Amino acid sequence: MEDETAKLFRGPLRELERSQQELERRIFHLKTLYDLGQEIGFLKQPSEIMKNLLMMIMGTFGSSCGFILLANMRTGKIEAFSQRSMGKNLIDTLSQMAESGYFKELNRPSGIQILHDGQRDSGEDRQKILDFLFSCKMRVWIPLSINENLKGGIGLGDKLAGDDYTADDQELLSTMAHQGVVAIENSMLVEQMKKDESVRINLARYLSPHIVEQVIKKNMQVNLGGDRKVVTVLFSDIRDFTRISENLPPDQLMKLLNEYFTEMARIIFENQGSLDKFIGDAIVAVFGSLISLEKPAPAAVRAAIQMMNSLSIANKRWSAEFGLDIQIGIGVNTGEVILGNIGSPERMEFTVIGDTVNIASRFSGVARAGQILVTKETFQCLNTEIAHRELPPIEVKGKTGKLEVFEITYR
Amino acid sequence: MTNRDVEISISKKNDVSIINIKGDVTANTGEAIENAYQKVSTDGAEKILLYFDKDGYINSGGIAVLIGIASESAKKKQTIRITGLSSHFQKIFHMVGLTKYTAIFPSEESALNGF
Repeated sequence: MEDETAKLFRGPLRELERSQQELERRIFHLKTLYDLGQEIGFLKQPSEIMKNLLMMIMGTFGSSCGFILLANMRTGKIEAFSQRSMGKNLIDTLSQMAESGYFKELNRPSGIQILHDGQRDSGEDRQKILDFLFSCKMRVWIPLSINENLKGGIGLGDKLAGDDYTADDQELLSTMAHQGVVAIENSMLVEQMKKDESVRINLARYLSPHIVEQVIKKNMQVNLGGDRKVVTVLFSDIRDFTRISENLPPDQLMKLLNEYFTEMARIIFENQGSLDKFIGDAIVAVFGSLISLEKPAPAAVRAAIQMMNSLSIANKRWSAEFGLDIQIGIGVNTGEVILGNIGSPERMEFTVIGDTVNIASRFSGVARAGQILVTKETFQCLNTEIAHRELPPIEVKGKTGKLEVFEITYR
Repeated sequence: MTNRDVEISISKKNDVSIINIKGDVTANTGEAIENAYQKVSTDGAEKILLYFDKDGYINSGGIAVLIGIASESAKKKQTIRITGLSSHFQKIFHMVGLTKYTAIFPSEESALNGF
């Protein structure tokens, strides 16, 4: 009688046990999806996200081994990689495959791929990588696509439990991979914003806010290091500065100088120049260094003329307020310079060095109040119709022979 | 050893190295357990008992850490036993196949018995 009863309930009990197991499995998977958000949602680096994503996936399915990678399809370089219980040389082989562009082919049919022995594919490259993945004991491939260039995937080995990856598993894998992609995208966005901010802060010292925004928005190339380049250097100096400093109390002198430098910097920025430095009362501006300009010399001369004109307007105000005015002389030269970050690790400054700068400085020194003097090298780059007159050549320290001088007559 | 949400300590009973794990085992805290396993392995442990906290939580990331340890211990011919797991996690460990590499015991005493 007992045997009969046991027999009667054996089937339903087994069914109940199976249902209970299935319920446990589904609860575990639901919790996993929630936990995944916690494990990858707050991480800063894509590499950390990828590591945790791989772990979460492997733990969910009990995968014996696995790896995750993202490769740049344009450069063929692996950008991020993480693995668990895989061979030591895996990364080398994967790097070679990424360089050969195999991953482009692998992810062509999007969607999860179950890998099996003897798998045949019409594409030669795809076949190579499928064979390789299978030889590394990978049994499933989950493609990842962050953007047009950044692609990769997750390879998973056999399940410890010994069963195959089911259609249900593939659905969950797809959801987890998608969550990973979103987290990586977000972290890259944050990284980009930080990078933009750092560029903004650095460039704001030398360029106008408008150009800084252009550099960031258009991802313009900024020349920051150790290059030789042909630029135009504008050197401007206040005439008779001792008289001004002796006749004004310090607070008023600072006010006057700040107003003067602000206005001059505005004009330089407006003409796409960068502010190299202030040396005492002198201004060094460079055209065509940080931002490449097709015609740096005309831009520099245009700035010089605007500086002179603006100064004559401001002088009326300053005469009334401070009882004196500011007169400047400007030298402009065009030629090759070395540009780059110069200084000690504690204080680096982007600057230009070379004879071109020295000659501009010398021309500025020679210029009388209100004069704009340009070298032959600058003059040759200007519109021939620009009002000018040729002055007697001058000697410059370190240069053999005299240098031709052209005055730009702007008044 | 403390790693945010998890606290690990190592003790020894006879020839069994016991790794006591208190707190949540996750992808982020798993490194502390891996380090403890590496330490007892370097010290020559052949029998290792992972003693979990019944109130602790183990997520999939933590399970991946345990899979790594189970896989490495198999290569090193170490024996790993587990105790302190709630019935829920016993089922999960079974589901993901960890019980193929390790045996789960209801108490420390039963785990050490005949180890």
